[in-house]
Amino acid sequence: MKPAELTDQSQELNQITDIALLEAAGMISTLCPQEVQVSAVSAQVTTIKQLPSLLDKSSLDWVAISQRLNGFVEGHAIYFISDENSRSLVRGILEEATRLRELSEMEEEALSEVGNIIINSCLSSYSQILKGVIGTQLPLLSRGHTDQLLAVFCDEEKASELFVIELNVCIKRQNLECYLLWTRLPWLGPV
Amino acid sequence: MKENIPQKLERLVTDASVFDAMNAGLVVLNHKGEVAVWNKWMVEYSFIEREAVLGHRFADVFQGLNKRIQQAIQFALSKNLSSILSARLHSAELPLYRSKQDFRLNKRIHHSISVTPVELKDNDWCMIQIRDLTEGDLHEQSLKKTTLELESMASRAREQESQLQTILNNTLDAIVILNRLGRISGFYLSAQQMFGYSEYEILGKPLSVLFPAPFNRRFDLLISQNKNGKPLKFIEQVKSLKSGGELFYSDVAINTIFEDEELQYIVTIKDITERQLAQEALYREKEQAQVTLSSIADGVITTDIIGQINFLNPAAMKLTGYSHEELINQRLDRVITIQSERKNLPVFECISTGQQVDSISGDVLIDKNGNRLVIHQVASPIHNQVGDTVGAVMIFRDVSKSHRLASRLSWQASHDELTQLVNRREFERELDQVIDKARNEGSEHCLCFMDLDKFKVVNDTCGHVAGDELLRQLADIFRTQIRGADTLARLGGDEFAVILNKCALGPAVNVAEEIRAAVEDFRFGWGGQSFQIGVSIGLVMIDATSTDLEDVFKAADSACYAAKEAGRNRVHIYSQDDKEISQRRGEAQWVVRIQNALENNRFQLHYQPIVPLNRAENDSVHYEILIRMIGEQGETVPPGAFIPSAERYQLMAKIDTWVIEHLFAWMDQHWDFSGQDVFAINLSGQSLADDNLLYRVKQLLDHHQIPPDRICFEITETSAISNLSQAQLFIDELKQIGCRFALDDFGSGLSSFAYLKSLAVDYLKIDGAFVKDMAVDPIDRAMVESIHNIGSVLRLKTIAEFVEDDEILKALNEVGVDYAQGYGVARPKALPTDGSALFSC
Repeated sequence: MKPAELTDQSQELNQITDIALLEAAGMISTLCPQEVQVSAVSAQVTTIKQLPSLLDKSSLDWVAISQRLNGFVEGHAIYFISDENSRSLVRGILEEATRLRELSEMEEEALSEVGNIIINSCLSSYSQILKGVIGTQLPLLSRGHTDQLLAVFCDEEKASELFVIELNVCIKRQNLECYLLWTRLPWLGPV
Repeated sequence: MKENIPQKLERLVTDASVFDAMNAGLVVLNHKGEVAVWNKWMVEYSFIEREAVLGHRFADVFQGLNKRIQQAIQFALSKNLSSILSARLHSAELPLYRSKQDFRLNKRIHHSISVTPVELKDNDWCMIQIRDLTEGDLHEQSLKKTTLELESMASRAREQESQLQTILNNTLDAIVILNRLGRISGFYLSAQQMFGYSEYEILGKPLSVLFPAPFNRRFDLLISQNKNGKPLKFIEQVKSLKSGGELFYSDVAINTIFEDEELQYIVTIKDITERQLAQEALYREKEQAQVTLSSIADGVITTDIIGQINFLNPAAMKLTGYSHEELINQRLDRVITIQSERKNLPVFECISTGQQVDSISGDVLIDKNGNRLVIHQVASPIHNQVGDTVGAVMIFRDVSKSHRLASRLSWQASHDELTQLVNRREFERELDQVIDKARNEGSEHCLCFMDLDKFKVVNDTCGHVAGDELLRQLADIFRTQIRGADTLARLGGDEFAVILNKCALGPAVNVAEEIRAAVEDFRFGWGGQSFQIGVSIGLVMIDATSTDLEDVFKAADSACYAAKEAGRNRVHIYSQDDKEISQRRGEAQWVVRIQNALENNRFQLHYQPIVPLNRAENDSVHYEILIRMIGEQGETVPPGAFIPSAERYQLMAKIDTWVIEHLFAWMDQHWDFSGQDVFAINLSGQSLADDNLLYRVKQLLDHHQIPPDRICFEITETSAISNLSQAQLFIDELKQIGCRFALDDFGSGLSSFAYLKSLAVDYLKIDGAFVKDMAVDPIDRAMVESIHNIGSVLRLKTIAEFVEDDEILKALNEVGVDYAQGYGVARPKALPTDGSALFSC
């Protein structure tokens, strides 16, 4: 099944997403010396099987900052970023010169906060549209291959579709590809 | 924050002890954002008692919270969203301290914050959890720092490795690495390019593949013998072998190193082909320079900046007479003596000025043996690369021969080769200086012109060789009579001159007289004959009133001529009032008049009878033809007025020709040739030498049909002697056709009789000087008798001139002279053009 593009009804969602990402970028920028820009590149619905084809194929290892949703919507919101980009993002924000292949615990915590800011900003905006509160738990950082990571979240929820927003995070003239994944699509009609 | 606190804390809120046991900060805010729980950890770390914060808004407890915390609290209270604030992004955000000291120092802890919503009492409360990550953070920072350093070291090592690789691959020299077994383990780019092998082809092979025999065996042996891995150092120039078989010269160096305790050899090979070629070229150039310097005839000496000799070629040694050892490292001026007008030697002047210096002509080098060499030398500076003078090179050559030659040429240009006396040109130059000196200093000098009296007699009688020898001997005589300061010259021919330097008139006359007497006493012997010569001297003073060279010359020449005219063998002093001089000067004016008269036929023929004294023998009457000039105003000009000028300016031949032409024409027109009368025509010495005249005479005789025996040419004794060969030729040619000849003024010469034999004359005209007083002077009578007797012996008729009265006639008759001529016989008259007869008395 091909990824379905958002209907016109969801255009409002796009706009709100853009605003939320703008606010998230603003918040992140207050926490680091340089400006960070976060923007949505595309948004689409896809299946779990098709998701790998949408992602950056040069990366095998991914990092997922996931927050369990509760309240009006349940499921997971996942900030999905490749291992390499995650290092670039964190070290770009923290201005770390190290080129260690693994993030330290502190760096992972910082990365989690970044994902947390982006997710919370979107959820805060979405709750206004849905006129209902979507609560989250604290972010959880996981690592692994795509299917491994998705299997954890999607099997748990028996989700077969995902709402994927491709993001571009620009920091220090570096454009980093990352994604927001939503395992529940309460605002979309049947595919 | 890994664990989640249960949301329902209602029960736990009232029991703070649970929260106090936590090793982390816990703050619970109610829905209003007011502190409901402030655990012990918070009390300890914030130094704020519980009672102080409970019921107060968190934002009031900690004023100045950043937007993120505010948002997180707000998200938790109103939107049910959980937030995490990482320690890295919020380092020491809250004023929490580990100790009082830290509190005083404001040394906050590094902490992370998590804000989670809790539902409590049906309201959305939030829970703030704070973890102290100071140690962990510091530890992590330390680890990162170490990691960074390690990374940096690794990066530097990689960079160095890369640089090394770059260096090794970009050296000009080939670098080859050998393992301990001598096998090639590294073959960098330069080596690949030098030898033509790729790394793939050469790795693992022994070093010897790069060198031909015997070098290859040397290397193998060298390495094989170094099994103990001792430090090895090998530097040599060997031939290397490229992959294509080409050999080239190289410098090879082998060093040993230890890499990770493993022995390796580093071989550096430098292609020195270019250097070798350059060295060979340099050697050849040096050799060529050496050979050139050694073979050139010029001496070359180089010095350093202080004039110390540091090089000299064989020619320099030969010219100076010194050996290499005697000159090298010595100061030039201390070993070699050069006399020069220059104050300093050219070498030192050159070093001082940095410019090339040429020698002045005439520099003399005194060699080791004291020999004097005239040299020409040039000194040029030697500069270093920046242009500073660091020495000089002196090039010199022996120009003694050419100097002598130049001196000789200069001498020859100013001297007469025959007599070794100063020549005319040099004499004039010196005379010019003397005249300047006289004018400027007011000094007095004397110029003497000396003209030999009888030089032509010797020259014509004995030949030019005798004449040259006579001149040499007379020059020697002149030398003995003058001082060293005086200048004696031969002007040309038989003319001499002397400048008596700073000499007054009196002493000058004495010197001139002594010269004259010396010449008079001198006898020149040649071919068994002895000749007395004589000299006529003209003397002129040079003083402040002298004008210029030309005038002084003319004056001396005039005085000399006057001496000649006065009878020769005498000294004549030039005087402004001298009539003779005046007349001499006036002669030049006659030239124009004579030429004019010739062009306009303003000459007139006169005649004077020469009558035989013994009519009984029916001797024919002679008529001597005389010439008169008709002046511009129609006046008659006697020959004495213009003949001397005509003679002086070579016009006599023209005059004589005119006479002959016009006489023959008159004879053709007016004479009947019935008698035996003879017309006597005077011929000058110049005419005798004129070949055209001889031809002309014959032509005219033929044209006018005049019997040659009616013509008698009168030649003076003097002119005959002066032009003896020409006279002989002239006489012989015309006598062959019948003309007659008379020797005029016979007896006035000093060696007259010697010439009579060689001249086929018919008549002797006795010099009037002997005749005019013969009636009263027995000596003169004796002379007349003598001359007549000689003539008689030679079968010559004699003619007496200057017969002025009957007594002379009587005396002549008594002597037996054949003819008489003079005013006592008949005065000259013009040749008649009206056909009337000639008067014969």
